[in-house]
Amino acid sequence: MAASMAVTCRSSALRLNLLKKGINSRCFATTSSSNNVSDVKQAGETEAEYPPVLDTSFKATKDRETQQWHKLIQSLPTVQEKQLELNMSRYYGHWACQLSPHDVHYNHAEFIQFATRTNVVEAWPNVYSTLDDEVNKFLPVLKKKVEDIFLLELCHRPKVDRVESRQQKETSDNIIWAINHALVSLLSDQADHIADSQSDLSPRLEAFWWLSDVPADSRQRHVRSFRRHIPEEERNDPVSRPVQFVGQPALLVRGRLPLPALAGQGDPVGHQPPPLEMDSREPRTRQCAYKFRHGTNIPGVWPEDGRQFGLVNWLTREHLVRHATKYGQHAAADRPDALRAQACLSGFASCLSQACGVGFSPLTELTYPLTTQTVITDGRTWTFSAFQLNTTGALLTPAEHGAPGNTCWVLPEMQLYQNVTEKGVEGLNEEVLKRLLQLYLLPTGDRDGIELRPYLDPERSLVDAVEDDWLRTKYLQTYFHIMSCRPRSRLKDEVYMWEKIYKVQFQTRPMEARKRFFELNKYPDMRRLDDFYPGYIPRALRQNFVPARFKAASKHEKNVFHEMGRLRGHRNTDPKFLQELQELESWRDEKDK
Amino acid sequence: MRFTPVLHKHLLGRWYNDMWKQKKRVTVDNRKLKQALEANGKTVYDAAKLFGVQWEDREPRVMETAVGAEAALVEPARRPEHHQTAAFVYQGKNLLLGQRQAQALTNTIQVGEGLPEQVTALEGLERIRNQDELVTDVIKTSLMFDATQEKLSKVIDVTRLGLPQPVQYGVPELRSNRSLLSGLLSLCERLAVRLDGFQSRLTLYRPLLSATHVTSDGHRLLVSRRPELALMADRPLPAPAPAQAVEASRAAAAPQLEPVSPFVHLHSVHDYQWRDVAPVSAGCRHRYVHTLFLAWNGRIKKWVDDDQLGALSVMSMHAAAVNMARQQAGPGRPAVVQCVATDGRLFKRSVLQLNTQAVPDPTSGEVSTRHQLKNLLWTEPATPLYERCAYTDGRPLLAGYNAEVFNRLLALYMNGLLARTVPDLN
Repeated sequence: MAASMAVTCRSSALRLNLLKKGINSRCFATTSSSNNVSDVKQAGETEAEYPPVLDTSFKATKDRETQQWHKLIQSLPTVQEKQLELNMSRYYGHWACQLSPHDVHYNHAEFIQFATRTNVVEAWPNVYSTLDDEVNKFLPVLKKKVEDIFLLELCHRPKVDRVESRQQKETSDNIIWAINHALVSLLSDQADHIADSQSDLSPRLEAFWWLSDVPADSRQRHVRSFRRHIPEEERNDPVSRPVQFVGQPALLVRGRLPLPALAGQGDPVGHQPPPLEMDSREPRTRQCAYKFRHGTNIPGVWPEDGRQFGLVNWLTREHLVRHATKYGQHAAADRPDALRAQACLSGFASCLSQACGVGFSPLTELTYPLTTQTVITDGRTWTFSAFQLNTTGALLTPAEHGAPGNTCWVLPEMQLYQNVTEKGVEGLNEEVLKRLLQLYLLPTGDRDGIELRPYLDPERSLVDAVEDDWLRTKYLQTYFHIMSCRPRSRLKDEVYMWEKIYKVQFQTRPMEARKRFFELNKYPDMRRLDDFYPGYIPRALRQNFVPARFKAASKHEKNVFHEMGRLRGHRNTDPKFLQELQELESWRDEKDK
Repeated sequence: MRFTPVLHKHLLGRWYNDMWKQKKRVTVDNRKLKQALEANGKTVYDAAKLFGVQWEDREPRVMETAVGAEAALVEPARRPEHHQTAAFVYQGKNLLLGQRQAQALTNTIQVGEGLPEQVTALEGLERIRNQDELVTDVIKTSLMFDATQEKLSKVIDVTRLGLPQPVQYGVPELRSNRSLLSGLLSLCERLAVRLDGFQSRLTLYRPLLSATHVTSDGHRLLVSRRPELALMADRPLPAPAPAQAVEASRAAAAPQLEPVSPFVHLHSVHDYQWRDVAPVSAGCRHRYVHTLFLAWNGRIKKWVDDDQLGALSVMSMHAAAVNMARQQAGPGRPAVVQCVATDGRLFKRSVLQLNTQAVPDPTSGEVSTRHQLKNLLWTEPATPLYERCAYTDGRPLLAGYNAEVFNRLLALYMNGLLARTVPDLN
């Protein structure tokens, strides 16, 4: 127990220390050779069972550690712990590419398809055609209501009521909210899933994932050239980049049950398109910026809300004004591409955040497909799309044409009306209203025989199972604190300009004590979230050295991540891991003697 | 980072030098000093001429002004919103004397306690399927489960004066109030189809409401406020008070605030937009304001109470009713408006029947409108929708949910939909 208490959760740091002492990393193999040998001896069998011979190369060892981490995330019983574990390795956040549905660049759709492993199809799923009878029943009533909404909003609302710079956005928002209100009140008596749904105005929709198969940049290749454990042929291997989507749809309709799958397993629409050329995959070549930010997967509400499945996602088109301004005469030709990119990215982010809300993660493969529907409109021009998220595992493997991927169905733009005057709406296109009714009337339901939350443990939820009030409160506060992405009260350590010149580039101060972080090889970007620097205890008060995290002068001295790990039976209490560490500790003690 | 002498020498020394090189070009403008001295009878001599010195004026360096500062520097007479006549402006802030002052300003008297019978009779008449569960879900989502995390306005903790005040992140009150009201109204609208009122109601989000008044002695009053939501209808609400009761109001007196003017605490400004703005124009089919939903920041608890919610309701309802009355072609029936005011927890319902557009003078107060018709107000004390809705000890908690509040909101919504409450427009 003392040995286990002396062990930190940072197995990678321990391995680094042991590597320095010349310990072979094979000691951290998942199966221990000594155990199996003793098993054979006890059974007395003549045929020996040897453990698998593991590849001890750096790459293979890192892959095993990565798989172990993925399994750890899968095994955590609550959404909050899974989301915090995604961010555990980075105290100051991941250096992630920031994507937004409103920053649409030229020829952006092909990059978005690569980044989300999505096949975009310009068609409409057949499942919607089964709703034609119900659609025709509600169409006349909805048509009159929509006319009233547009007359009021576009003709009868006073012009002074608009701030000019935000006019289009406010008009679009008001029309979207009014049409959604009308649809929900019209259909709630007939459709149970609409009666039970909730509509969020401008919710927070964020999604975070790792995008593999991105070429290493020049700086990474340069650093790899100094790493002796990386063979020369692997120095140009592609890398995984964190990607963060931050969006705010105009409106989001959520329900308790998911939408049905729009395409079956094995359908050719669910195959990945041809991947991008290697040179075009780096997000920075697409004017996407990078930023240090915690990875967040938020479907508009916290996990305690029972309605985690998104039904309809409403977006506006004001970004096309910036797109037109930026790209001038080429913008018109690129507009369908821009809309495809927006629909694909928003649909993927909505589905991924829903998946995280029900216990999956960007590193956990889905057990059933998730679907969402998107409407992009400014009131006059409408674009409908549907997205089906089949797999998250494809994001972690190299892009391959024909491999399983996700699907996005996008329809061409449609005009709802030609003109709105005080006399009425001219040229109202009923086809648009039919598509809209189809989206709302598509019923949700359980997936037969499939558990919707297979990786969440209802008996060990954060709210119910954690009895310690301090731990439960503090963990939840920590979760909100990290997910809010607020700035830290203390700035990150930086190398001052004069230090860069006089200490790093030119060693002009050899007699000065090496106390700065870069002189001690402690880089802030590599600091973990559960790094705990306990308070200073004066020498006079120290008694029988025990790590500070277990010797709490007050409850504020406790570290929330260590306490939760102890409660959950974290990896530092894994028996095999502890046994291996015990062997290493004893080896170290002998060597020190 | 720590500002050490070494850091200063390596980083800031050059910066200081550059700043001084720029600053030395700044000249002090002495025009106002010269004007002030000459106004006091002092003779000002030019120093260069007095001493016979050759002096070259440097070009004054133009300092960058903040955005909008240039507009403020424009002479008042040339600003588009400037008026010679000052006006008292109410924009939804606190009234010093609360609801009494609002009634005095709008020439309104309160009729008894509670809402009119035509509204109270509708309470409990209709129910939505799973009503309580849906309403509690709306409350929880708006106040607890909304994942928006923004820096909240500072609330000074007087027990920590002098110490750093804790920074709080959460759902802004503007957002949570809008989400709560929108969710509750959306639930109310589910009755519209059942009661054959689907085509007769429309909702507006944050419409501008502005009403102008000129008193008998020429003072101007401008009421301008944006409600969070406005429920518009295609027919007006029936007047709760019959004609005899309206005539009898001549004998009643609006609240008397003497010796205080009813316009106390209202800013008298010269820069304002003097205009009547109704939520929609007169040609719209849904031009009648049915119910206003007003939200107020409940975070600053000491400013928001039942009295102030009542004041806000009266002023906003009066502005909406005045606009409706002015949109009518000729003298028509009294304009009736309903209102729900909330701070996120307390809900206060009110009904106003506008019988006159006259407002009292700021100097003579109620005396100037004596023996005139009065506007009639029905209101009830603010009722909490819940006692507490927050994460407590790491668990989401909604305590003290009051189901009656939503039943009363439904009654307000149904007013004008059911056959017996539909007014005879002929």
